[in-house]
Amino acid sequence: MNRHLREILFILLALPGLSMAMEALDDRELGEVSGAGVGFFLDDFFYDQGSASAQVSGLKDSQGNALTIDLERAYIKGDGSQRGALDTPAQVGTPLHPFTLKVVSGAAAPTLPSGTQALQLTTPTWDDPLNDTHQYGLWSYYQGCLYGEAGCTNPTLAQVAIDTELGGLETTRNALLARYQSVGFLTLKSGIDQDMLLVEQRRAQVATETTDVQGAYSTMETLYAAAPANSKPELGEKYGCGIFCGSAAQAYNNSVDDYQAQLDELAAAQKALGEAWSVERHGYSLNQRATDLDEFSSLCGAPTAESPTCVVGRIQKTKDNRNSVVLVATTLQNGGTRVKGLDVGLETTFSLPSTAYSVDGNGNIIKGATTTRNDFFSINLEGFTLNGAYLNLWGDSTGLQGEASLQMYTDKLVIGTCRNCTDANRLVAKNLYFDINLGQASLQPLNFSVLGDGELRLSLPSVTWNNHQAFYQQVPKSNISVGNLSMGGVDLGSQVVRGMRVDYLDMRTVNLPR
Amino acid sequence: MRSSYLGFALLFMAGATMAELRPLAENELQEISGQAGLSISASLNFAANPAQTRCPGGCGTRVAIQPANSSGFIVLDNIQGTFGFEGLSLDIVTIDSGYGGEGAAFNASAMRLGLTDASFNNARVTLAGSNSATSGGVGFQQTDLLTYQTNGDVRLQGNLYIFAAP
Repeated sequence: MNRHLREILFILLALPGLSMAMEALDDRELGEVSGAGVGFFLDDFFYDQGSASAQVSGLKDSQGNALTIDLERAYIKGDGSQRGALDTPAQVGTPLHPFTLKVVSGAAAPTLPSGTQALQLTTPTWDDPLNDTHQYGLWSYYQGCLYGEAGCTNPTLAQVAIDTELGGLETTRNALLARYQSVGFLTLKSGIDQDMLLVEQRRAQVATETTDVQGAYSTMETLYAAAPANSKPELGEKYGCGIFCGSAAQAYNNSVDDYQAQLDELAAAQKALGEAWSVERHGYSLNQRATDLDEFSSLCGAPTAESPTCVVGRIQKTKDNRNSVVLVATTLQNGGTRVKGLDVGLETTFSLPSTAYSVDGNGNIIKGATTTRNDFFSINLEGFTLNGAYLNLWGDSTGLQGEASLQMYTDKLVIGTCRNCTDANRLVAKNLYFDINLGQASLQPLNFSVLGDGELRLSLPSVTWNNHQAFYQQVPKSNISVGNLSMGGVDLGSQVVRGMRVDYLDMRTVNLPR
Repeated sequence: MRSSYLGFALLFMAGATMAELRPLAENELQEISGQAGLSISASLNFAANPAQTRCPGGCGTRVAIQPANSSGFIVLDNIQGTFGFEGLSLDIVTIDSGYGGEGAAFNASAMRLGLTDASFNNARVTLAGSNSATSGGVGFQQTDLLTYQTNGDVRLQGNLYIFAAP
């Protein structure tokens, strides 16, 4: 047997025998491990819960009662299993594209702090356009429909969609360019900068007046509390005693006048601020000019010349995306195929308290009896892949650190709450792509620890003043896109969330009394 | 096919003791390499220890893992029940064909673990966070996150190939 295999056998056999606490490898052991990794893949695989019953318990419902979820059915099979009905075998990874588990540093994990080694788990990774999840996920979002289904055999639908989007962006850009062509964008910006000085000044005035109003209100409240109870008016109204008022009532009456005067000053300051935003140059108000410049900067990047170029910003990003979309579409047209994914499904039942409410004769809502209701919940994934994902783990003085990139793509996600119904009564998401990135080794490592009282804690450190520039440039964002979402047979179209980034996270469990 | 048939049953009587799985020694591994493969059938019973009253009916096996520099432990607690399978196979194969041409390019040996149907008899495990590796005692604190239990036969097939990655 060759040496590598023997090492793997040894690692595998040793794994189940984990001692009570994980121990850090010492330098000598690391020296041996470094460079050698384990690759694995699954062939001809399926899992079916079969006749076994299974429950998940230890959860609580909204009334604090124990909640048990019955797993009626669970399966992991190959794509095309008709939601688990057929025992279609799955192929998860291949000899040249396996899952890998190894110790890495340097170029294999470029974000790691220097001198750090991490344990890295990667899922099968391809870089051809159809199996690179980034590119295929992007194409599938623009494509909208599930490729191969009836009415969705033309892969260039995505190209048409992204061209339309790009056309819209370019029209907006051209309109802005035409509007300020004779002015020049640097002149536009300096005009805005000059006019903003007045805005800032008047904003400060509004802030001052707001403080004054708050001060006057609190004085009025104090004096109101001290004022005589006899025929006491509402707060903010004056005693009607005129010159015959006692000193406490008089002081309160004066404070009401003060408060009103401060309110008038605040209103005047707000009006003046509004006027500062309306100052015109080149025929456009400051508000309009500032909005236009913001929009142009988002489309083309901040202008650096009177007649600016458009080589960064959203238009360029969309053009780059278009290249990927075209590449995927062309590959599909030329008969390219994707590595098949998995079909994964879960059907559960659980009981929840259900309270009946009714309306009585007087229109009041009456709480009725609370009974137990049995609910059904199912989730099915078709053509699920996790290609190109990775997880890096390492430890330092602050605990177990990690960074992860999840690249989940599925042709179809079906969520149902009815046992005997069709997809017309379910939520169906097609071409679903989760590009979730958590943590960045140097700037924002994901920290996992178990506290002294046994509570779990997951945290992401926040951005700091010192690292904010690098943070916003380098910490990866997360994206979620859906080609088409339909609920109850109604198509809601495509949905996308782009550019999510967690600035700070601190999550911990708390043991509630049982 | 030459294969040796190995059956063993492990009984874990005391809940708090660890499953005694030990790595094979080098000379034992050498013996395996000479085989065409081996097939394993097993029935593993994790029994509850009635002396531990923390869990109803006694606690099962407990595995605690302490992440680097954490004060507490992630725990797989109260592992109980019987887990059995028949005909799990283990052998070394050479992959040199198939997989759309990748097999020929791979052309190396890999360890193959042949998965098989499995059965559970009231098997359960609780995922928890705790302040102590061992259970019970003064000041013991634990937060149970969820408990999974299963009973019956599951259908499983497939080959898991494991090899040295570059």
